[in-house]
Amino acid sequence: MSVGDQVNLLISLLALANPLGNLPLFLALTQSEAVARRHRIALVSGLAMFVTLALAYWLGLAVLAAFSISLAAFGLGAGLIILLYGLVMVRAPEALLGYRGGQPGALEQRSPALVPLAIPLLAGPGSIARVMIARYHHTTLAAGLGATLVILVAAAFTVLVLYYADTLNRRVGAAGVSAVSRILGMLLMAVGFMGLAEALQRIWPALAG
Amino acid sequence: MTPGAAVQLFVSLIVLVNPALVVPVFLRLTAAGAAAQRRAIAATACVAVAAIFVVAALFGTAILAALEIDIAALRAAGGLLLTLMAIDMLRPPSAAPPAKDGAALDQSPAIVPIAFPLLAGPGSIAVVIGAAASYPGWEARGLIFLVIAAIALVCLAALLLAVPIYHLLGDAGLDVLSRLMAMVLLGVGLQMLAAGLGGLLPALAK
Repeated sequence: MSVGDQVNLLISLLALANPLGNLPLFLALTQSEAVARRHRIALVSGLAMFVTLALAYWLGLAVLAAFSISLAAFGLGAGLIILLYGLVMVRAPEALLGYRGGQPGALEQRSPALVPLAIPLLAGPGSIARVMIARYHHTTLAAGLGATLVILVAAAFTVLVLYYADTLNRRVGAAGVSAVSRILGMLLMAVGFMGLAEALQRIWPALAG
Repeated sequence: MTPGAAVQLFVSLIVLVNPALVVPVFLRLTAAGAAAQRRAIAATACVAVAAIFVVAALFGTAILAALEIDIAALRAAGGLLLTLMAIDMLRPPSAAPPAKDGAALDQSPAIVPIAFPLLAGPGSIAVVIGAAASYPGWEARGLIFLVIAAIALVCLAALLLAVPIYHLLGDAGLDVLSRLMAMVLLGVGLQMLAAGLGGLLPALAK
């Protein structure tokens, strides 16, 4: 796994988790909490993001094999999911901010750290697909440790952003958050197209020319 | 790099950047805002165009290599985005437009999609990267930066003129113009998408 692959994985995971874009939602979900508890929620959701993605990375392909889904078909689906995530981020960044998990009445007492923050916002179908693609490209132990480190860095960065949510939100503002989401969305669309093209070449080798 | 080559670079860039095509899209995206907010978006977009081209000239190949992103994939992504925008523009505007005249206009479309991929698209970025690669040396860089500054100024003029054009045409005229330009934009977007897919799947381009 080259350094370029690792940088691409890191940027993709950060774009998919989009901690900056999720700031307003994080603040809305935790507005009734004290600062100390808000910091704890940030830490727990980042930890859950790391565990989810690391599990998906190491065990995801085995699950696919158990359901006898071919890697090419999975890659096609993963590319499509990442492409559509990117498209939503570019075209309507505010649509992502409208997410409201579950019925407010019943769930209000529970901490939002795991659902909806960690899953599906920080580690959703897109990032799970992305780490599984990384796994089937490079299956050596060294690549595995490298990728796990990348996932850890992405989760740590996410925790850091959520930790300073208040300050960042005031500094960057809604327009800045939206602009960053659009740029990251454009990169995600390119990553999605690359995944799609690769899967199509696996399915129909003649396309590779 | 001779002055002639710089003029040639300017011409090929202005055709690819195509500020005239952006005017109706710009008006539609900023329909809800006051004139001052439109000017702010126009200025941001043009600064972003200059920044994108300068970064492309200085670090273009290195950045794409570091992110492991194929320029063909970026082209396909930009093409898909423009195609979808064109289809949106072809359809009649939604019956209930968000009525928020007093509210602050969202500044975020300035960079994506106005600066990228509408003005500084993958095609023009590739031209800048190519020019910077074929003319090394700081003297040539200076000329390339001059060309980029000229392009950004033309874009700024086009976007600032958009508001007077709007007053001239009125709502109905703008509607007609934007449908016509949407057809052109649809072609541009599909062409970009096709070129991107051809790069990603070489057998298709044979």
